[in-house]
Amino acid sequence: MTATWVLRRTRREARRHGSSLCALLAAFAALAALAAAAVLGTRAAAELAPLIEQDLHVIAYLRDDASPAKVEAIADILRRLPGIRAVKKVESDEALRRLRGEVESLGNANVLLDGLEDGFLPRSLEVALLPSENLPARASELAARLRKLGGIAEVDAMESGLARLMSWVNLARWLGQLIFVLAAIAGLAALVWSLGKGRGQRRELAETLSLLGATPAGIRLPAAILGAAAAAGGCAVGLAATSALFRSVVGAALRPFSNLPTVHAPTLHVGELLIGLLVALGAGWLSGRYTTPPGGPRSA
Amino acid sequence: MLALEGVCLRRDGRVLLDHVTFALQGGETVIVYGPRGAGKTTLLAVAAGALRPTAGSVSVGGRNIVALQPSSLPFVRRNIGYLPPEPPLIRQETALENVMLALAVRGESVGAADREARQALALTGVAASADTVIGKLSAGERRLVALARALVGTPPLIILDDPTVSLDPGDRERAAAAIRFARDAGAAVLCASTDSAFMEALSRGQGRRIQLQDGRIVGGAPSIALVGASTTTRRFPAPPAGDVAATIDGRPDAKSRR
Repeated sequence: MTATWVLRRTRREARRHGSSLCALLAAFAALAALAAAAVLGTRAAAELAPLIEQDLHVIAYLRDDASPAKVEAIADILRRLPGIRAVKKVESDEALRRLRGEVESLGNANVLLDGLEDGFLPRSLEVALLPSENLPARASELAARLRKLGGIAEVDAMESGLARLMSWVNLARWLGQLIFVLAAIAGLAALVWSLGKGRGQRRELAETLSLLGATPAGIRLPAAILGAAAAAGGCAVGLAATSALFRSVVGAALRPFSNLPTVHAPTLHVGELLIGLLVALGAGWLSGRYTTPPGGPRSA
Repeated sequence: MLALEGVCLRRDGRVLLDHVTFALQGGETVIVYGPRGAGKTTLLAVAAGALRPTAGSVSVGGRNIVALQPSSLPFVRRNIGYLPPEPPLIRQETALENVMLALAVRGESVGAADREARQALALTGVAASADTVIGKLSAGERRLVALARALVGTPPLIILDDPTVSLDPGDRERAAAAIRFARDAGAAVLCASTDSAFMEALSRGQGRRIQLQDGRIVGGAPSIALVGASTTTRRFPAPPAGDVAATIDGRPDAKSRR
């Protein structure tokens, strides 16, 4: 068959098999979106985790009567404990400066803090922990030990806030896994359905063309072209939609964590997009070939 | 154009064809007749390359197609206008498109295929249904469309298995006329039928009849001598047998198998 005939047949088959082509496109869009979400999610988690962990401090508020030597001794002991990244003394005036800075960043007026004198806020020791999986437990344990030391008035290990954060993270992870599995099942089901339907529909076509003297490759060519086009189109839609969704939704979801620096939602590299499209083209081509039996005349 | 020599076919212990030998030249008609189960359909399927015989040779255009690789058979089928007992048609396509596909496979342009397909549909009397989807045609109309597809472009060899099934007398006469037209243009026609009126209309004093019974030729003239060659001016001259062989041999893997 000439190229004109191949294009004509491809156009006519696209009109005849619109529903199974749409299903194929949707299947590849879903699978591409899942793959992109997995890559982007992993990158976002890899960026986010150290930031959360770096910002985790156990704060030991010092008694007013704790001498500088006593404070230095406590700090020295803490620095030698395993799992401690740094210990920093925060004087009263620095604490007030920080508080004023946070209030201004929230857009509130500093009127309430104007009347406060230096020395109003207590001195404190900020203990930064090294990142680890059982961070909340380690922070609680350290807080318990600090409370027993003399010279310490109060200890804040961000336990309740951290526990809330970890439970949200676990919920998000669980939901993400559930959505991933459901979307994978839906995508694969759509793919199998479209391939099966297409094959059934094209059996008659294959038999007819084989009787007329078309080769198996010629019989399958239009379906392969359509499969590749549907797969590439679906993949492009899936990748673009996931990238845009990640940028807007993930970026917006992270903004409430105001004590964290702004996280830029990760994006896919050009090479990854090209690889995704090439894989989709190849898979679509093979799917299209599969949906057309090679043909063969019925035996008498 | 077509020569069967010592063709045998056995299946599941049954003898379907038993040492069948006959030949057919361009411009000649051979009608195969016989009772039900005689092996007519099997014989035509073997001649068309749709079935491989157990023994013997089937030569199309001078090439033994039994010895060809399966990948070369499509190139043989392009030279044969074959109408099987239940011809496959693409139900979601129009009658015109179904007929055009026979020419598309042979490399014709879309424009030329459109013209020739419309002529073939006009010859078989279903020109008015050219743009109708096959699924909406009656059984008789579908049969005529399949016949038009077998005749379009006047292939060198035309093999028709009971072409008058589901046709009324008027359509049978039209079908016979269309087949005679193709024969007069140089095609070799091998036809199986149990319709005596149709056989008479097709042969019109010319052609040969072969009687088949239990897979064996029991009557008729299997020789290649032409009987009453037609002098009608050819409108669609069929290619000579050498061109058919060249088409088959043009494939790089058209090798003989010992």
